[in-house]
Amino acid sequence: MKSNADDMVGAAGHYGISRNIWRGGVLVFFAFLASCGLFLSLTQGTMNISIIDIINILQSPINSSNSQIIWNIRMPRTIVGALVGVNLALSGAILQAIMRNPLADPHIIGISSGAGLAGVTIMILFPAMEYLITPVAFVGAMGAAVCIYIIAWKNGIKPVRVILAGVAVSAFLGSGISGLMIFYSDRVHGALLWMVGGLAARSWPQVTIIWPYALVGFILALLGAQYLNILQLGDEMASGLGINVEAVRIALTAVAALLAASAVSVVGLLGFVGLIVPHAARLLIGSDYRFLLPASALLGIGVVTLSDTFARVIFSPIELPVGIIMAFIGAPFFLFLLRREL
Amino acid sequence: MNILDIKNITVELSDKVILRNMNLSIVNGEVLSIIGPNGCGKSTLLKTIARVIRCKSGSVEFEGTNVQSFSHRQFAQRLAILTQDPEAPPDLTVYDLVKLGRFPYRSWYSGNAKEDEEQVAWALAQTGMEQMKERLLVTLSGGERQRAWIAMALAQRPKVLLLDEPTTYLDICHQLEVMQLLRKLNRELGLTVVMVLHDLNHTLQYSQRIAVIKAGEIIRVGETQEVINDTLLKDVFRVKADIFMASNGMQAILPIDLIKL
Repeated sequence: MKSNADDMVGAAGHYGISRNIWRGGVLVFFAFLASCGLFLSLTQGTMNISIIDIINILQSPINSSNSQIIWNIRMPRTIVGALVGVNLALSGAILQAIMRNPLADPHIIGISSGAGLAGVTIMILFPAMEYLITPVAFVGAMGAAVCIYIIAWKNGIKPVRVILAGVAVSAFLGSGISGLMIFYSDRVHGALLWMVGGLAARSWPQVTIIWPYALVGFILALLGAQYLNILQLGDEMASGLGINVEAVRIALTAVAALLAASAVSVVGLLGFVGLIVPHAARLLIGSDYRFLLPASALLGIGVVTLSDTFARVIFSPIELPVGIIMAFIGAPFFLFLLRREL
Repeated sequence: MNILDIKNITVELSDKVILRNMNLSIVNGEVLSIIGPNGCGKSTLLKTIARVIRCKSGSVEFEGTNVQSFSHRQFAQRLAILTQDPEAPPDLTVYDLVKLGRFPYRSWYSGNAKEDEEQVAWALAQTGMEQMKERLLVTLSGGERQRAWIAMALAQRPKVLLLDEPTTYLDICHQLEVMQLLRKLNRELGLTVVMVLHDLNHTLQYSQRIAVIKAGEIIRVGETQEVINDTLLKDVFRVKADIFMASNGMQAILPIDLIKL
């Protein structure tokens, strides 16, 4: 068997000072990717606006249609995409450590199924109240997460019980989603888009909703980095090192749930970001969460904004939901990771 | 003087009684081994002392203070535990691991980086791991890895070190290396060592006292050389064994046959 260790040595196994240089290099590379994503997302689109025009518009907003496109369409959409990338990637990275399971992502604590059922219910049964979709989806996501935690609780939390409860609750809620879609098959179009996840028509109101969660979540996650490092040694060793394992696990699960719930309630059920991005970041930068968390956040920005630009440009003027692009790229990449690691 | 007093503890795991009304005192500066058949509750006792598992009734006292009244960090500064076969991420170096041992002394708003570095260096020196501190944990041999974990525990600067079968999966040379390291730490630092062991010859060679557990109860406690005898081996392990004098003057045992009930 070729051990994981050999791979790690190949990727990040330069020690001492050089290991920190490597980590710095990876962070710079991810920051570069993120910048590319932000830049392309702002400059590419159905309307051809030259870069010089964009720079002028950014410096002095004028009342032209191009200015409208930049300031009220592309800019907020880019920001929403970036923040969603940050939130989902951080959420996945946190969950992978506290569940000690490389397959953990926001799905397993019910975020997707909870937000999904809530969102689809609004869209299909109460289409007139579509403006409520974000808060209701948020409540649905948190509700499902709390529900799974309560079901899994038995003298404390064992990760494997959370994962099993998550699978069961997600299947249960999923049956509700499918049921609604079948009974109201004439109204499923919007619901389908929501289930795939997309950034179309997301603007400043969505930015306002998501940025406080992204900011607070990022700070809390970084404060929890050393706890996450120690939880990777297992519950018993973590307890022996002075961690209140139950309390820390609940607190960090709550952070992960808030990050993911705020993201999916705004853009729908974006798959794969929460699973793939932390994995990819870990392969390059290693499993020290003080570096892995910022790396995941930067890579999350890059992946979502680049995918969304791609989704807008590839069949322009028709626009694909970003969720399709990401799953299309994400799934093969995930298989590649699996083959590498197992 | 006792450093740990286990007072009449009963421990249940999923509604099954694992330890029943158990009493045990651990003397400051001793090496105490806990032995007994598989499933008798040895590891549970160790985890209860380390506060990883809560007892249903009774109490564990550290220097006369109930362990529950310490904060998690305070307790980790006094007592360290090494569980059996602990896990670690594949890219963790020995240095990274030992540094984690300083966690009880750090928090996000405070911590003394210089002190931490000194203590990490000290722990590496005590375990002979300075040369290997940049190595990845997974690339070490079993014995070296066990020494790295012991170094992490030492970085906590505990008064008591608990170990759950520290020599499992090691070949005899590495077993001896680990046992001699523990003896050295006990003698030179006055570290109290409490360990669950399977190898009775290790208990005879390295521990002053022994506690024998059977079915959740302590049936004998005392000087190792006195406690281990024909009757005990027969009653507890159902084996017939020869007990003889080894060349270093210590007793050694060789199991000869099973005793049919």
